[in-house]
Amino acid sequence: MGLITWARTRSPWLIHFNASSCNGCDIEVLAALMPRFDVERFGAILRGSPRHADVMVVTGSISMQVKDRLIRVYEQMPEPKFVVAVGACACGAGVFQKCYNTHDGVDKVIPVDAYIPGCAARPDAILDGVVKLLKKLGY
Amino acid sequence: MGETEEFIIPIGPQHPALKEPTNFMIKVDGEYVVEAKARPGYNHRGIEKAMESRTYIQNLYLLERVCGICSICHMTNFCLTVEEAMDLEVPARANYIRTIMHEIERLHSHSLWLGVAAHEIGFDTLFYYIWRDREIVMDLTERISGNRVNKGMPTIGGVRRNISPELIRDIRKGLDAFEERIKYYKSLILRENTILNRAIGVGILTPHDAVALAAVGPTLRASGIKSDVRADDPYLVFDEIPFNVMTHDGCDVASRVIVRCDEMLESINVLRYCFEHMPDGPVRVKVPVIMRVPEAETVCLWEAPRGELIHYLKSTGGTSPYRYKIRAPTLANIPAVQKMLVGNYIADIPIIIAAIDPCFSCTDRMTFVNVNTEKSWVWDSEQLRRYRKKWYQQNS
Amino acid sequence: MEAPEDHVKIVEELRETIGSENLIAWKIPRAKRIYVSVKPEKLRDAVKHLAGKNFEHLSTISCVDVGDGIEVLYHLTRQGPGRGITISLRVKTPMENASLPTITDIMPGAVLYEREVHDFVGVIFTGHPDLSPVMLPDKWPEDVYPLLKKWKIEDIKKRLSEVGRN
Repeated sequence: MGLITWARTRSPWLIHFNASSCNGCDIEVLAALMPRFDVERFGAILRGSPRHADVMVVTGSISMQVKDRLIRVYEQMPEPKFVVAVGACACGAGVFQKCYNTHDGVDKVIPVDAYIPGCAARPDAILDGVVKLLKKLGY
Repeated sequence: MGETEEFIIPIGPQHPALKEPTNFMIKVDGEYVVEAKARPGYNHRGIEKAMESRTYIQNLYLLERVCGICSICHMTNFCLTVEEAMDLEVPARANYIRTIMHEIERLHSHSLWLGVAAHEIGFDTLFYYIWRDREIVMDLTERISGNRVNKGMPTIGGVRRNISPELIRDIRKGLDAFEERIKYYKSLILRENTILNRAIGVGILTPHDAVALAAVGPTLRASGIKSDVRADDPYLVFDEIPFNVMTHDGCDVASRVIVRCDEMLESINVLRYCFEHMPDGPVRVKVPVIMRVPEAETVCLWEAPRGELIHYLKSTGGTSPYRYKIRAPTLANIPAVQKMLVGNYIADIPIIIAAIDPCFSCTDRMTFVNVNTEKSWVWDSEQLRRYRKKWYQQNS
Repeated sequence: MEAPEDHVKIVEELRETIGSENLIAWKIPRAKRIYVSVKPEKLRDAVKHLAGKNFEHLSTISCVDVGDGIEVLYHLTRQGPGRGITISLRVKTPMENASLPTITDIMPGAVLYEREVHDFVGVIFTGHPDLSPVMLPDKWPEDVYPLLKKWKIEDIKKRLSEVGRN
C-alpha cells in the first residue's frame, strides 16, 4: 500500500457529531477515548474541525433542526472521508420510530461506511467498529 | 458604525462530552458578555406525542432514552407516576433497589460532569483521571443491571432484577475505592490555583435570581438555597433515610463544583444506609403487559443529578397515556445561565455553561455580536477554547 | 383520604383572594398535591397570591388538548416553611384564538415554559416578550401544533414533506 494510505489508516482523525442523540452513545464515544478503552492507541484522535477530519462519528436520531448542519459538516470534510453511525438511532431509528421529528438513520441523509449497533453502543463495540473500518481501508 | 459580517464556521461539538447541541447568541462589549440568549430544541424528537400512541410498557423503554445519562431518573419517575395513578403498591425491597440505582446514577453523572468541567477549565489530565475512576461506577452498574448506560432495571410494579448479598459486598468495595478518589479530587480542587482562579467569582447567580428564574438542582443549591426534592417531597425511601442537603454560599462556578463533590460523598452514605436496611422480599408485583390505567391525574417530582425533574400524567382509562408531560432539569436552568453569563469574560463562557451540567452541548455553535461595532461572528467551541487558553495565558 | 388541614387552608386563602365565583373546582388527591381550577381572568391574581405564600418555584407549565378547549396547568412548588407541596393551577381556554395573559413579570422563570406551550398547542401569551419557537425547529410550518389531538403523527409527517421540510 502507498505511503498516504498507510498514513491515513494509522492515524484516522475523528470528528464527533451529535445529531440529536440522547447522549447515551456520546458518553460511550467519550469513554472510548479514556484510559480504560483508549482508542488513541489506534492513532485516532478527536478533532474540532471537519476540515481536519477523516472519519465522522455520528450519533442520534437526526431531528429536522440538525439535518442541514449534518449535511454541511459532511460536505466540509475533505476526501477521502468516512462516516461511522454509532448506536441504534443512527443505524435505523432505534426506539424513536414513528416520531414526527426524527429520521430513520444517518444513511437516509449522508452515506455511511460503518454501523455500530447498540443502545447505547458499548465503548468496546465502538473500538471494534473503528478497527473494522480501518481494516476495510487497508490497515 | 462598523459593517456586520457573519462568518459561518463549521460546527461540530468537537468535544465528545457533548451532549445535545444548542445555539447561543451572545452580545459582547470588548471582552465582556452583555447579553446571552439560548436557542434549545435541537434535540426535540417528539417524545411526548409518541407516548400517546404507545402502551405504558412501550413508553417505559422510550422514556429511558429521553436522556442517556439520567435514564434511571426518567424511567423510575414514570413508574412512580403510573403506579400512583393505578394505586399500585410496590414491594419495599423494590423501592430500596430503585434508590440504589438512583444514587449510583448520581455518582456516574456527577463524576462525568466533574471530568468535563476539568476539561472546560483546561485541565485535561484531571479529566482523564476522573473518567478512569468513573469506570468503577460503570462496572458496578453493569454488574447490577447488565448494561452500562441504559440499565432497564425499573419496571411498573418494581424492578426487574434482584441484588444478591455477594453483589452488595462487591458494590461496597467499589464504593469505598471511589469515595477515596472523590475525596482526593475535592481536596485537589480546593487547593489547586489553576482551577480556583477560573472558578471563583465566575458566573455569579444571586439567591434572589436563582429563585425568581426557577433554577433547580446543584445550580440552585450553590447559591445557598436549601431545596432538594428528596428532602422536601420524599419519594422512594427518602422519607426513611437520614441524609443532608448539600449547599454552598459562593453562588459561583466553584460552589457548583463543591456542591457536586459533596453530593457524591453524601450519595455514598445513602447507598451504605440502603445496604444496611434493605428488607428481604419480592422485588416485583406483576402487571399485565397491556394494562389500562384508570382515569387519573398525577404529578411526580424527582431529584435528578441535574436538578428537579417533573412528570405529569393525564389518563382517561386507556392503554396509552392521554397526555404525558416531561420537564427535564436543564430547561429550568436555561434562564439562569443566560443571567449568569452577563458581566463575565468571553473566555469564561464554556465553564459557566458547563457549570449547570447541561444536558445539551451548548457549545455547538455560538453567535457573537459586538454591541459597539455591530460586528458579528460565529465561533465553535474549539475556537472558544483556544481563545480562552490564550486569554488566560495573557491575563494570569 | 382526609385532606390535610393546611392544604385546605391554602385553597381557602386562595378563594378569599380571587373570589368564590372565580375558583371553579379543587381537589387534594393525596398529601403534597393540590389541584385548583380558576377562571383565566384571575390567573395572574392567583399566581401573585400563591407566590406571596411561598409558592415561589414554578416547576413547569403543562398543556392538554381536552377536546373542547385547552387546559393549561401551572405547577408551583413551595420552597419555604411547609415546603414540598405542589399546587397545580388549572385554567382552560377555548380552542379558537386560545390566549392567556403572561406571568413572566411575576415569575421570570416562566419565559421558556410559555414559549413551549405556544409551540405545542398554539396558546398565545399576551405580554410575553418573545414567543418564537423554543422546542420546534425554525423551519416548522406555522399551522402545525403537534400536541393538538387533531394532528396525528402520520399527518404531521405528511405536512412536513408537503412543505419540503423533510
